[in-house]
Amino acid sequence: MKNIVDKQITLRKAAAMGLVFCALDTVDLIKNNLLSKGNAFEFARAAGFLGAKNTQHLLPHCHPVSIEAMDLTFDLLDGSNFDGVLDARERQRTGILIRGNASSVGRTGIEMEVLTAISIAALEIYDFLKPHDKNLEISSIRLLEKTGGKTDKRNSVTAQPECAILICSDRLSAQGELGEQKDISGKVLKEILTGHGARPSHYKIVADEKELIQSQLKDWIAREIPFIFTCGGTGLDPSDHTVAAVRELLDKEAPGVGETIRAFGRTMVPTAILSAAIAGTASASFIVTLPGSPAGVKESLAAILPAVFHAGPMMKGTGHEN
Amino acid sequence: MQKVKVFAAFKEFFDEEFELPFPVKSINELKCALEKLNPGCTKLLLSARFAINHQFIHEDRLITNNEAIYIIPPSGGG
Amino acid sequence: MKQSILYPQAVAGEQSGICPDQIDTVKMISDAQNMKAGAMVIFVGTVRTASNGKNATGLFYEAYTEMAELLLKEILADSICMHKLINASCQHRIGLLSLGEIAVVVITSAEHRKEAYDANQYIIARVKFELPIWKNEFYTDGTKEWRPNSN
Repeated sequence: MKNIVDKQITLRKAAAMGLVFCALDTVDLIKNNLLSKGNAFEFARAAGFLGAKNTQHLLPHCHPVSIEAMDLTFDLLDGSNFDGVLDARERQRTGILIRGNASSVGRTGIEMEVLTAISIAALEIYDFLKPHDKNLEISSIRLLEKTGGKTDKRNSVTAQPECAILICSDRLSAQGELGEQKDISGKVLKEILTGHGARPSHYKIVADEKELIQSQLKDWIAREIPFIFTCGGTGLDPSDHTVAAVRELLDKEAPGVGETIRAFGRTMVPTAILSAAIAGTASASFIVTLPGSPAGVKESLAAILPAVFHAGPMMKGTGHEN
Repeated sequence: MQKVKVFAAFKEFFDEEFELPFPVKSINELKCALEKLNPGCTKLLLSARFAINHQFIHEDRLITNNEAIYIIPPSGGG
Repeated sequence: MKQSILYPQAVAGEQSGICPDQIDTVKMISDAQNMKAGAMVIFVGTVRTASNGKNATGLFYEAYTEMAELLLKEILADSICMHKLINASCQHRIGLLSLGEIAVVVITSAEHRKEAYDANQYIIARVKFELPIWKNEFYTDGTKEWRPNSN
């Protein structure tokens, strides 16, 4: 099963539909409550819920998820409506439209659970109708909408944010030009940022010393580079100067970033709570301090991206349209 | 009494140097006072920096009664 | 005051600061000459016609001089340290300037040209962004406008 350990816990929603085609006479039977087995829709809804909850047992790759809300609705198709939902071919036929949606707070989406609910509800309706109609067809089981996690349109960043990377490391800085080749955290950082559609256009290694760190940061701040990530020097060791160096330059702190890095990191490694990582604005730039280790960089970014990129529009005063 | 000195574009809204009619304890209070004195300066205040004793001060710094506050609009040099 | 590690005698810009009259670029260059330097990079910023679509006739630079000079020395010292310079100097005009006149000069010297170029760009970027200096542009239609640098 896919590893979802690194994924963020967010609100995830999904909506889906399915159709059961039957004759117009059969539709009338349902309308007038004349089916031999009773109320099809109530039973189908119940079956759908049970189906959803059993998804992890039926589909090998589906993680157990927590279904926090689920809804199933049924509409009769008698030729007249549902323009936005059905295509032309479907609108010409008669039968039942099943729609469902669900919500979950977790690390993975709830799409498969909703599709399973629709599928099982459709089978239950089929079972109810088969004594009355020899030409039944289950069709058009499809996802209508999915939100949450990386695929959420509200989460995606439209422009390619420009980023600068500052590696604060005595060890790497002492190695001169070889330092860049040996810098694994920097490579991980560049890769993850590029994967989010950002542009890491500036990169420098400096010794973990306050004045050197501030000199470089002031350069990038003067050039108005929107996002600056520092790497290293966020611990409690007396030789860790990055956090103090950055804090002095910040206009406004964004404490949630450091809190999220620590909270998420703690689920992997208990000592993550000792990180002093901070973030905030400095003129037109948003600075985030990340831990020095490649694993720390990976976990921290998994926790805070792409949310941090929204600091850009917010600092310009246009980031509150939701 | 606290003195205020303004530069450049701010001189279109205030005298170059003046005394505040009532004391302020923080940058926020100063901004409110300036907006009350001349509401037109609001937009310019959004990007202004503030200095005391030739040093930029942070927005959270408390201001004492005898200090002179300099209001610095966004740079236009170079 | 920060000291350059390689060249402890390099003190940032004794001739640097705010200049009320024409900048003596020739004197700045000759003061910067040093036989240890393999490269000297000179940047001259000049007054151009306005970028906002209007036609400018000139401008007036105003400065908070005491603070500008303190910050300028800091920027030069940061650069000397960061780029391992032999020396760095910068002068910025104030007062009335006409089109084409020299507004600012930045000189950086280093053993090799990479450091001298990088340092020069570093200094002018920070000067433009941080120093409390402002320009009031005058236009052919008789209007004036204080023009900030950033977006």
